[in-house]
Amino acid sequence: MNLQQESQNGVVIVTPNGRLDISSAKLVEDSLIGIIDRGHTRLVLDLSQLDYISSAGLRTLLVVAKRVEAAKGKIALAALKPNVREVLEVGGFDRIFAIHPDRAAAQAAV
Amino acid sequence: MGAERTARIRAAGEEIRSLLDGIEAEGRAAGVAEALLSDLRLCLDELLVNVVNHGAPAPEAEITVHYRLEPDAVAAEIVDAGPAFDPLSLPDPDVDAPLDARVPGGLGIYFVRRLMDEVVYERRDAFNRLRLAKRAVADPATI
Repeated sequence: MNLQQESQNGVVIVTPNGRLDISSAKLVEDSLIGIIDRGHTRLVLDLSQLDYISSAGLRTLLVVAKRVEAAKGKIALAALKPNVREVLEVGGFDRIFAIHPDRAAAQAAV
Repeated sequence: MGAERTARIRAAGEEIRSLLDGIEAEGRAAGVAEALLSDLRLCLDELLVNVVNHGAPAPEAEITVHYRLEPDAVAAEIVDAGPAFDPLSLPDPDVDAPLDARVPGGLGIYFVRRLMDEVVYERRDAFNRLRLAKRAVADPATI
């Protein structure tokens, strides 16, 4: 798991690549919480490079979403692969996250 | 019909991914439908993480996975010697709840229930045995 991070017009865009499962969940969670705690509360997760997510990964997304909300920020997801999207939908995460087809749309929404 | 294979891992989180990578590669080589393979991987991942986190007594304990991979069907059985525990006894999480009301946990087993056709727990001879199976949905164009 690698996390690429960039900032554009006050929005931090994070692009995780590989698998978000039990062995990478903690790293991703710590990185994202670190970004929020440094005051960056407009976030886009570009998931175009994410090949797989398990419930451990969903747990991370939930923790991050709650932290963003507590900080009165906004978060959006972009460019999900079909298998990743299926897992989010089965878990009902499409109801708690704004999901956009691409990064530009997600960026405009936060 | 594909032959049954057996793999054994230590009950440690870092062993899970390489086991699943291996099963996925074998499945691709055997021509298993991609959607079936990705559901099987997710369900095995969830159940094995569960055994490691809650069930198996120690990292040196062994978990055995029997599995069968066919182009239109997959099946597996996870066997561990941890304390008796039926993961299917857990209540389903509320997947309609808004963010404020969500609590982490319970989603893994929920995925297994939702994605597999068959999930059976049995406690036998001091082992937990969890069997799962799924067949590919027939393509209406080929019927």
